[in-house]
Amino acid sequence: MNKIWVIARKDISETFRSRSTWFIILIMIILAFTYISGYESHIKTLTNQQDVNAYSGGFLNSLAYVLPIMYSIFICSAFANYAVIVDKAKRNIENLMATPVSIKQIWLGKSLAVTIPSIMVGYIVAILVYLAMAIILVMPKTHAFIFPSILAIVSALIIVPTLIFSIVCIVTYIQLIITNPRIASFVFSGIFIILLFGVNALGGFGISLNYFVWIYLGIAGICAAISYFLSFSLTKEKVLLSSKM
Amino acid sequence: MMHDQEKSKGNNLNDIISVEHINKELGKRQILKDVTLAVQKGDIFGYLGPNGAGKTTTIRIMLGLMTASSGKVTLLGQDVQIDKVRQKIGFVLEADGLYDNLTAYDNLMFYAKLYDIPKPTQIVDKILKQVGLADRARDKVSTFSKGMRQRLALARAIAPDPEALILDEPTAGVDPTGQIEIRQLMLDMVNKEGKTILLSSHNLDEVQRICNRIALIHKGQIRLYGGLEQFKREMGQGGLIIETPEPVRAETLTELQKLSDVSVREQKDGVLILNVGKNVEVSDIIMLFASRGVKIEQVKKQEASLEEMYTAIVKESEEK
Repeated sequence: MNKIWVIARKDISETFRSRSTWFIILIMIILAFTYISGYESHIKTLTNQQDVNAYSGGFLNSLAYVLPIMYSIFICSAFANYAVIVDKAKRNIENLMATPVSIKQIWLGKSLAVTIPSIMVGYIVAILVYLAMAIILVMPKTHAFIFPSILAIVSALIIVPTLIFSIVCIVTYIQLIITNPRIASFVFSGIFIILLFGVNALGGFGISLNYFVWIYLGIAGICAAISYFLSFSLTKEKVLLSSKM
Repeated sequence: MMHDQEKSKGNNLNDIISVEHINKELGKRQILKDVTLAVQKGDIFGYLGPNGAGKTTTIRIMLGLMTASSGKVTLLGQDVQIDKVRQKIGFVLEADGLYDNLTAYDNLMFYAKLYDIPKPTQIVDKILKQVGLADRARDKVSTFSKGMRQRLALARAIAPDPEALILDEPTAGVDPTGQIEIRQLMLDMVNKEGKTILLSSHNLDEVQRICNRIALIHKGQIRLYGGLEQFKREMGQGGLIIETPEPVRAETLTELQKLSDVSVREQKDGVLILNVGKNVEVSDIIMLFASRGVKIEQVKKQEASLEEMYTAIVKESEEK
């Protein structure tokens, strides 16, 4: 476990030394503005205060479900570059594999190196955006601060990290064994797009956002099972031969 | 050329690195064919071969990065696929494996932790001094020259106090002064600290200076394997330089070449250079010249160089 953390810590420290990390954080904050326009345009149609309160509560609750995972996944796609793609391109991974470390330790270390900072940054930005929305946008309309539901908080604190880690494990595996690891970034992009549009679609079908908890859990379970089976086929030779020789 | 006693060598207690009859196929291509070699305690073992000969693949198998299709590789008597075995092996690979965004100190600390080095900060400070990078410890590696990077990679290799080092071109890109320092460092490690080194290199002069045993691989097969001094003796005296006041006439040269194991390498401005075999007596050549009235001003022996051996073996295996 110690060596897994050593690998993860080194990659995390490298990630935060890069300017592009801070650029990504800026993009995420800008993305939050899309929610403002959606809320503003709908709230104008409501005249009854009860309806305003109900819609505002639902709006903030959906943000509590979606923002942590959406932002985390978005950052994952960028941070994964440092952990695996750059390491493979510069052939540092070859040196890492020649140390007394197993390929599974490297895989887990790299996956944590992507997951931990992504979740940290994703949460910080999500909390800031939530607070900004709740205080600046919603409070003048509802005259009260709206907290997210307990289930949304549980989802953000426990289920989202589990889901993110299980997805990252699969993507990291793909990055480790394919010749063009950038292809794996499409997996992140795909998930990001599904989340972005999926919430609206589910809302449109009248499905409660509380179901997200179960959807997240289901996906996490499937990903964990896939990762477990993939672990048997990961070898140093596969990683080496898929790297720049 | 391979010494029989070396070829038949099995796993010996003195063997730090033992490679026994390994083959490696990648797809339909056979990269290594029945490669056998052993690096013994205290050796500086030169591993030579042209590009694409199979050196890097052998090293990768030794470090557990690849698996042999057949055959056996052990480090310190243990299977190379056991990750813990590499705790006692330091390495420098073709790509230095250093992280540009981290400082020299952080790079070494990272690897020190992977090797579970006790008191890593003290060791890292000491090693940085040893390789002459103490004053650049807090600088990012991205600001380092190629030579400095190589020294840092070597520092990483020796930090875990390994029993053996596997070094792939450790002096590549290093300036002459740096090369001398690295060579001295390698010699000190073997002579003073009792380490063992496998040195893969294209620099034949370097190998000739510091290695006691060598293996030459070409097209995936070991073509030469054993003690360097012994090869030199077997290869013969190499060259004989004869200085004469006038150029030696063609008829005399033809007669000279009738002696077995003698051939003319070149003749220019009264300097005749002959290739002579190990059984040739220099006195026979001098006698022949005297009988043909050729005056000799000076005779000098030129030892067979590793470069000549290398070229001859590679050429021979190309022709097969």
